[in-house]
Amino acid sequence: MSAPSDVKENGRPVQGVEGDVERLRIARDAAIQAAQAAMRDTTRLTRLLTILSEPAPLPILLDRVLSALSELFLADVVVLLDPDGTGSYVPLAAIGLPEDLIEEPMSDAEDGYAVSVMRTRLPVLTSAADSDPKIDSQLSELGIETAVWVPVLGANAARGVLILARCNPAPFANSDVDLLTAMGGRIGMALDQAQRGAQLERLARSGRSIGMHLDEEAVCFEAARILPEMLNADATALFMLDEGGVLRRAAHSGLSPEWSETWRSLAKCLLALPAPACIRTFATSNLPTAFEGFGLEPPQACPVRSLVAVPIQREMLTQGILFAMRFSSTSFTPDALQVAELYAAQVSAALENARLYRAAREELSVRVRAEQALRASDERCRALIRSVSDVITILNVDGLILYSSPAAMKAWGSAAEAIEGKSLFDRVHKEDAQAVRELFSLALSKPRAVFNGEARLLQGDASWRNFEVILVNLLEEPAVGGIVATHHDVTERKTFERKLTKLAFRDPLTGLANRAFFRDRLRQALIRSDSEGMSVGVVFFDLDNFKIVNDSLGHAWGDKVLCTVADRLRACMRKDDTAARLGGDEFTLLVERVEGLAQVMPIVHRLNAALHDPIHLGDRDFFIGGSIGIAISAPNEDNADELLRRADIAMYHAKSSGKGCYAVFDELLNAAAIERLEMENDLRRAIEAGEFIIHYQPVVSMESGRIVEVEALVRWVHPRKGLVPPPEFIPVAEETRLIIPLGRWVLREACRQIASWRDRDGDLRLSVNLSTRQFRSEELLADVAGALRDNILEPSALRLEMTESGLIGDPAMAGDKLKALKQLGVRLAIDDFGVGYSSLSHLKHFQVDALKIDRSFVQGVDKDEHNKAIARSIVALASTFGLHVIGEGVETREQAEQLRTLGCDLMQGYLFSPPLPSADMESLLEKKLGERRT
Amino acid sequence: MKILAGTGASKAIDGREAGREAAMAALAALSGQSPALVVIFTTPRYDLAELLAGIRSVTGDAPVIGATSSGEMIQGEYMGFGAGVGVLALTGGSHRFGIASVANVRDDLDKAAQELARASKAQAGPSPHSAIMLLADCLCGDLQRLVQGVYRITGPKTPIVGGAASDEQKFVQTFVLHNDKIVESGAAALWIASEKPLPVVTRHGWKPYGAPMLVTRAEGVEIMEIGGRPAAAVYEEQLDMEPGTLTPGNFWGAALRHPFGLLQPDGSTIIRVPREKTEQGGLRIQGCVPPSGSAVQVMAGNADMLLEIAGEVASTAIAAHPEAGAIIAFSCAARATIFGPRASEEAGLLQAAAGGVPTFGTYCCGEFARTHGVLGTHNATLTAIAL
Repeated sequence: MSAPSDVKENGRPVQGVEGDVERLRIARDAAIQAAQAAMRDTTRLTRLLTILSEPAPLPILLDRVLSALSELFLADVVVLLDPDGTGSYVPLAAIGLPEDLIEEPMSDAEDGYAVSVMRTRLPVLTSAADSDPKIDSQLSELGIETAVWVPVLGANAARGVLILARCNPAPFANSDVDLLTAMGGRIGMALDQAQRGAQLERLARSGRSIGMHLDEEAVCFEAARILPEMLNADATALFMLDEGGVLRRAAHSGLSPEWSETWRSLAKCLLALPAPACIRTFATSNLPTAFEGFGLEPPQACPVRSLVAVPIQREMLTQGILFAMRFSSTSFTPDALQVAELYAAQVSAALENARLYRAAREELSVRVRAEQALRASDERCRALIRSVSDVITILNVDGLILYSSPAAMKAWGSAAEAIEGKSLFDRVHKEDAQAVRELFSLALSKPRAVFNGEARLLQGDASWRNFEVILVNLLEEPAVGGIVATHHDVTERKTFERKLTKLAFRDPLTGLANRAFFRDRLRQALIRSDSEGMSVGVVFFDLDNFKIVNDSLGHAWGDKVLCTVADRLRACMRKDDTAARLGGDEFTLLVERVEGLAQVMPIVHRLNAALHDPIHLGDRDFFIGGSIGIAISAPNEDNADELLRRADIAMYHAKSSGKGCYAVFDELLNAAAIERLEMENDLRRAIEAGEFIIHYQPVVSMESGRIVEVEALVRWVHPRKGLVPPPEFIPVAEETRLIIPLGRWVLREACRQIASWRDRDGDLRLSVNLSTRQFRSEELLADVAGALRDNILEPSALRLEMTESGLIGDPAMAGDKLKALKQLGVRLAIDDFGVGYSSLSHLKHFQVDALKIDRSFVQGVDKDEHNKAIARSIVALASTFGLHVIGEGVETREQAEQLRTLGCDLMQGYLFSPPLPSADMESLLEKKLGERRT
Repeated sequence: MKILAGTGASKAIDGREAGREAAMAALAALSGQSPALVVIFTTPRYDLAELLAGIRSVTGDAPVIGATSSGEMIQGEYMGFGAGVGVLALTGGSHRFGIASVANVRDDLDKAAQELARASKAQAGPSPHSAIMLLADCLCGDLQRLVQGVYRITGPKTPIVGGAASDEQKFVQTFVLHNDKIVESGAAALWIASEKPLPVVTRHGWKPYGAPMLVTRAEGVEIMEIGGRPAAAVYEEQLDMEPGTLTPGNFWGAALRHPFGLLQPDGSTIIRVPREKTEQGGLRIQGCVPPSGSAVQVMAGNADMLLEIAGEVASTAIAAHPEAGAIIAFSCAARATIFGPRASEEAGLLQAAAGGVPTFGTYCCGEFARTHGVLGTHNATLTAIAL
């Protein structure tokens, strides 16, 4: 605490009231500055989430986001690369890149930062950009001095890179990078969504463009022309089998014909694959390996670096191969492959139509009659031209078929002669019969007019196909004398439309609603709820350990996790609620027509429990877990985007409270976010400033009465707040990875101290806690070995303590890590045993030396039979596996006595001593040593 | 080769006469050399076509750029509302100049700004260093869109400086000038191609007054909510006023001395002046509104605090470019109002710090200066470039 004379003016102390005023002013300024910093940091997240939640066309959205990033991070240049979406490293959007540089591709060199970030999905930071050879020439040219590259994550992998750069030496802070990485994920989702929408539009357009051609050659030409735009490809080639079974190049674009033979050879190999491989899509971004795999010579000096090959099928037989190729190494995404397959189906259908057209040209007699009858108007001519590949019937006024074209055999599975004289209405599906009769009546009433509709017609005896039916009343035409009906099979189109709809509104991986659909449902739900005076709940969650599975086991397993979670989500929801996957590992649930939180919480509890059940992958169980945010609408006050954003903020809050938590949005969360950020900033500074100390708590052997071990416990001496309790800062340190340097310091300092105490008491041992993140860090083994070596400490003098839950997130990794630690010679303990899983198999698998009974059981052991039973079973378990047991938090003689009776010899707690600063601990040890000597 | 600069002013009643008189005085300092560039800041009271004709009758074909203003600064002298016209004539030295203008930019400020920057750059030609001076009608919309459009063409290597034309704070109609054109609802840009870096210096002198706050709702030119509450009520609270104290009649007097500071990541603030309290309890902002999610703080300033930075602006600019032949400054009409009877001091402090280098400036309605990131619009701020 400062004395009044501490305040100085021109070097002289200011006394009395003036001094008080000055001190208050200084305190106020410091408080305002701290609040400014916290507010600035908080607003960044809020502002970016706000922009991303506002619907806007993609170019406008990206411009807003990049401008905001430039403003919020003082970045002179912001560049977004989206190689997955664009197929190249040309910026998709940029702020600060002058227009003459914006069209130039950034480096896609394997060792370049952009490719490295795409591959590792980890950010890269450089603070000496002016001399860094890996910096892109565009950025060097602008005088960039410091820059950061962060991954932009798509549905399952990195789809792009976000680059922020400054023309001054101020480096980006770690907290900047964390926030940017989170934003990278959000931008990726927006890109995913927009790209899918654009692809659907292009697919719808391409269907029309290709379908309007009735000549096979023209269809092939058009197919090759459109495909590059569809898939952001640089070149395309289409190879088709001719009637003699010879594979010929039917069309190509963007690539010199000299490579034709190369692709023909590859197409032949693909066609020769046994089913079902030959009817599957093939994609690679490693051409040499792919060619070698087929026994082909890899093409030399060919610009193509990645490709996708889709089969063109007819009646389940592959008739050709359509290639899309890129000159960059950017591979085609799973979405792109799906689009390619839909596109190939369009091409197949158009080719089939063209073939039918060719065949139909031979049906001269029918056509000549129809031509004569229909020549009267353009409209009827168009109907005629359409009809050539369709079934044509002539009906009498009762709907009886007087004549049928031979195409009936193929379309309806009946010879023309067999259906003549029967009623058309007999072939119509009963649900469509009424509509067809009405259409027929209309046709009867208006000679020469054209009417059309859709109906399901019988094919064979049992299956139904969709037909477009066009009726023309030519009863008065002597050559016809009936209603001419053309039946155009649109079953493929219908199927395709259904697929498109599904693609537009469904997440293709999990089958849940996608973001667009969810938002739409949420809007509608709000309107309904508002009119009923009810509320709507939005539950927003992401998976805590998804990244571990995805990174360590690969995307295929990651996808399985997402599908499993989707299934569990479905099982938790009510019948009329809507579940969605927004992208990545983010899911939402819309709970409609509720009166308040109370009706949402049972679902949240079910969901929380479901998320914490292990997921079985291969031969291993994974604990994925999730953090859940909940927002409830206020009737007539909230809109969909705001509600979603609130649930999102609540989810962030839940995550920051520790994994596996949930949080309900309220206005206090903003304040909490500020506090948390302040804590994070303080922590970073504290580590640099060395504001941490270690207290030691003795572990006493009841048998000998000696202090056999001390547990190192970190304490933070905050310059303003004083001693900060570990529960306040450890979770933040854990989340921000600051626990790694902090834990390393604790380990080294405690080892140094114990080595010094062991000079006098050679048997004294040390125990140190490891946090989950610290345990998982790759540096742990080196840190432990280094601390032991540098302090010349016997490994057996050190016991490392981990919580059970920290070990079982990835039991295989934990087993390996514990084995390696054992090999160093250190001892291992499971902390807080009994609280979590208390799994026997873990005990067996992990080979630890000791268990610590959690204080919650110890504190009731003398009164509560339940706690006593648990403590007893833990001691029995330990005995079975030959482990030591340590009772934590022993406060009374009764507790100590009970534990001793149960067979627990080692104890720690306030009964023996609170955690002490090192000097006090040293005095205690001296005192105990003195007692032993006397 | 050092640039030669001369300034001239006239308070003549007739526009043509005033233009001719000011231009002749400006040219007198060029030792007989022809001007390569003429910059005009003028009261809007003149017949501007006549004014331009008067100036060009003296300066001939030299390219002209200018704007109406709310007071001018000419080599240490301040010309108040309605006083007259100031002219700066410059030889090229080692610089080359390009000027472009676009009228009726309101529909798409971003695109118009890109056109301006592209055309003026093409005229000036390539150079190792450059800067762009932007003048715009202050009533044509969100001027940050204009700065952003220019930035798309310049990138970070070309500093952006300038100001929004003013009409002596009537907020009715302002103009920018380009050669013989009076550009309506538009903007003009001067591209300066240079062999050396052209520094832009920006200071404001405001100090934080209230607590940092979060803008929770802002649309168009209005902040509706701060911290989830009506913005005007929060603003009044920050000024220790009872709710409803501020009225259309007394608002400007309070707001002028207590603008918002938009908190920047490096701890600095960019000033935003609230102009009106709306009936719904929002605050209408002059120029560029802090978007939802911005952190703001009510600031405070008086004549002493705001004048304190004037000398520093000129001396920093000269220190960064010791061979400069002229300083062009853009101050804010709101600052002049706060200075009151001391309004002439800012011009004097600038010139005193610039020593023998002529200073020439305008009181405008929104200043442009981009140094870090994309944000480049300011209020109640002083910015200057040394040529």
